[in-house]
Amino acid sequence: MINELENILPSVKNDHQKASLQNAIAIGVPSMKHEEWKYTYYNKILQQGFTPAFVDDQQPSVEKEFIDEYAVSENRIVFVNGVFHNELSQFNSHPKINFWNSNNISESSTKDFLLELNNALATDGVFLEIGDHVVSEELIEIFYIHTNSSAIVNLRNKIKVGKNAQVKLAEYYINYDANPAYSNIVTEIEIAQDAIVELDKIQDAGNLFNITDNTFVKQDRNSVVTVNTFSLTGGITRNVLQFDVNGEHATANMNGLYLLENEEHVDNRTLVNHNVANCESHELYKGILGGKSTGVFNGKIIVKQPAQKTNAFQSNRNLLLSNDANIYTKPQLEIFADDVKCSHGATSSQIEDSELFYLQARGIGKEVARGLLVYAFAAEMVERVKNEKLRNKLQSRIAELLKIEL
Amino acid sequence: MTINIKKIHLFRTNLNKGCLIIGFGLNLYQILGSVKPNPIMAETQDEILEDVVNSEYKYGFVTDIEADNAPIGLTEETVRFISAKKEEPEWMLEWRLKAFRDWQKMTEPQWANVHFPKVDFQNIIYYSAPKPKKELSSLDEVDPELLKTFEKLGISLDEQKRLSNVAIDVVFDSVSVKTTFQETLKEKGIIFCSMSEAIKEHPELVKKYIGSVVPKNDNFYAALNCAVFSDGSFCYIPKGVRCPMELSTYFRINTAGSGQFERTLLIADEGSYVSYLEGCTAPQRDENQLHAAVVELIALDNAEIKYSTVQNWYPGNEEGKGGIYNFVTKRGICKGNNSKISWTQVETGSAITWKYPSCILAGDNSIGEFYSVAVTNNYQQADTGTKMIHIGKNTKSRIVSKGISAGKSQNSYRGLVKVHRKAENARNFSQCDSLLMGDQCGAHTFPYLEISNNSSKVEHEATTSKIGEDMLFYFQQRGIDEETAVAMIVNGFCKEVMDNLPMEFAVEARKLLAISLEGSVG
Repeated sequence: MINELENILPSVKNDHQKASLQNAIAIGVPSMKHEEWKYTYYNKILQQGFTPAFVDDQQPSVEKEFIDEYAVSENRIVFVNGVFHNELSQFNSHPKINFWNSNNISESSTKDFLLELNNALATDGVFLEIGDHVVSEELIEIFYIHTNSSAIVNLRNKIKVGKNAQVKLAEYYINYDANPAYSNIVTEIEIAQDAIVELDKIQDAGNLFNITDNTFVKQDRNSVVTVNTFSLTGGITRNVLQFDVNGEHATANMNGLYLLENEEHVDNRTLVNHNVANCESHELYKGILGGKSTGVFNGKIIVKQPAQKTNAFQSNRNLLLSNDANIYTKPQLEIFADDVKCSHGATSSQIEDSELFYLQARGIGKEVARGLLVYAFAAEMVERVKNEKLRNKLQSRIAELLKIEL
Repeated sequence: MTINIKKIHLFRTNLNKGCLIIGFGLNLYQILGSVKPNPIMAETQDEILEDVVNSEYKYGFVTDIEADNAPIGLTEETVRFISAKKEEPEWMLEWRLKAFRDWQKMTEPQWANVHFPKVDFQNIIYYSAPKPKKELSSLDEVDPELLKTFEKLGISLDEQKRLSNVAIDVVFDSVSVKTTFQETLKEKGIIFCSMSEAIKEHPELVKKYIGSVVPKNDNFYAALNCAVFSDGSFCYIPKGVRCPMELSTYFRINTAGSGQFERTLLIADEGSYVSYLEGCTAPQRDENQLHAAVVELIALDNAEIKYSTVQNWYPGNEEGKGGIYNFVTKRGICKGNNSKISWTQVETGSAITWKYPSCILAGDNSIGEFYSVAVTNNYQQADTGTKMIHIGKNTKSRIVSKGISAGKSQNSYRGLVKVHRKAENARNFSQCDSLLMGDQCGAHTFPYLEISNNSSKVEHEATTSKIGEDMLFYFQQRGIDEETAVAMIVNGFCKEVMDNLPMEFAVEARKLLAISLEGSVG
């Protein structure tokens, strides 16, 4: 990997990209010795033969009907193999919502290999700007479609939400022709005061699709931001979600559901930086683990010294359906302010016998009862999706994956 | 004699009012007679006030005893010197040397949430023993200087013998001076002696168990301890014996610049029970002193070990100068079925604490418990917690950790609950609560849960908050001043842990808590 990066170094023209590539080479590929990567073997993605490269501009053909199957709204921004696809994208014109594709590359000097790799190799991405006071009921959907390509797809997005705006966004990963895929996506979201934003991440692209996603949210005062992450199917998935709460009376909500089977692996990392006083954060991640799957949850809440009167709550609950599944969870609090209420909790167990008994006593067969209980466990997360169409879709998809009839 | 007159004076005033705090591991009921072991409340307002005035470290005196020191620094020669000094057999020296060679290849752990200047391991005296060392048959033969020190601490040996039913194996700067109640214990077949004695008298037991729970290359500090450990306690409870008294070891660090490296090995054979107490104070020193102990507990079938610690080493002064570095490896293994190990600790001292008493639950139906109160004030830093490794079927563990941080201190809980694939029906409950006093301190939690068995149930919860104004108001409304109210709230916060301490320790621990937090509310 590092060799390949060194090989492309001379062909990089942009100074920022060159610097990032050099950084990435210096940092090196993450190993399990690194605390942040303790339970996820990154090389397992690379071993599937993905190479770092600039993607070619050639547009593979994807039919519009294909997208229709997934989309629930008329606002679509579509990327195929990391390139913006003009014909498939469409947008109900709204005078104050603008988007254009841009590479969004900036000066970067982090210690994170994936961020540097992304900055070095990203050629495309969306720049979405939502004006002040825009209230849009309809979802804005972003599609990451992958067809036959062994290149690592690096996309870099920027989303700006104006004052008092209310919008809902969703992103989907789709594997068009079931070839191995790896997307490394970075999204930066800036939210102005009083805005209400929901972002739903739907990761359901089959077990050949690997994802490393970094999402950074900066929110200003009085804003309410909710990020829902649904990891339904996938290969190795790693989601990093970071919130910087920079204005008073802001609320950050993080919800996640991971549904794992076979040898699937999901690593969810969240970090909330409470930088100012009087803010709240609520976090709930739930996992259902079957087969030989592995779930990792690392939630970190940092309450800085000025952030008095912070309320921060975090919870991670896991249901283990198989004895070969593993869950590694690390809910973490770092608190430097004294007038706060913070809590975290983590649980892991299988289905309660008493709950099963309750249903069986009422004439429900054991398998059906089990299905009901597992579905109910997951349903709590789906209910947090505000858009009805998307919610219904998710409900039936989860029922399908859990092999139960609603 | 380099004794700080002022300190002694303060000490005397304490003694006069029946200083509860220093009777480590003693049966205070009997020593103090009239004083009820009801903490805080047994004190009058005046006494609390006085405590506030001298809330500095109270035991900062130095006893001038000619010490038999090893040359400064650590080389293979030092290891050989220590081993020779202790007249150890060849296998022990070999073991030490192996550990030393492993240690040389290791680096200090960096992951803990503590910050301190790098320790110069070549600038430490690795062995110091009080002189003269000869076989003693009665207390009269003990160095009078030493006896005086103990008297100052309120545990004169003869008084112990007469009054308490606690046998104390006193470790004074690395060498065990006098072991009491040997006779009573001998009747039951219990072996309770210093480590060096055990190496000579019971080599087969030592050989079998030493390093079996904490391997000699387990971590940097454990390896260091293996190479240079000077002394410690050894305890063996035979089959089916319930130890009739609470065993206690008393450690005290003396001699400027000497690190103390004790090693405790405790074996509870089938069906036995033992409760073991460990308490510590150290004289005031300006430079940091290193303490790297290793404690190993082994519980066989149906055995139970209860291990309690009150740690009150010098935490450094208000500017964070001085204080003890406490890097301890404590681990117990529930080797047999139905065995139980319970750790209880009250940590109020030390500038840096790095300590994770752990349980390996290997036997089926075995139980591990960890109860901890960690208090940090001023510039203290504590990174402490536990590890519960579930291997056997139906194993249970319970973690209750209470952290209190005040002043400019940092207090971290770091714990691991690991459930192996074969640990059917494993059950864990963890709770770690933090209390913050003051806006300059920090409280952190780093729990790791690694679960590979689906029939297990694991729960973890943690909260962080401060003492509510409504709570304080409630007390003040009833005529209880702020300082006392805080002490009572803190005691309530820690009650669950305190209840697990043997009574004598609980008394002392409650006092310690109040003293450690004096002046931190305002």
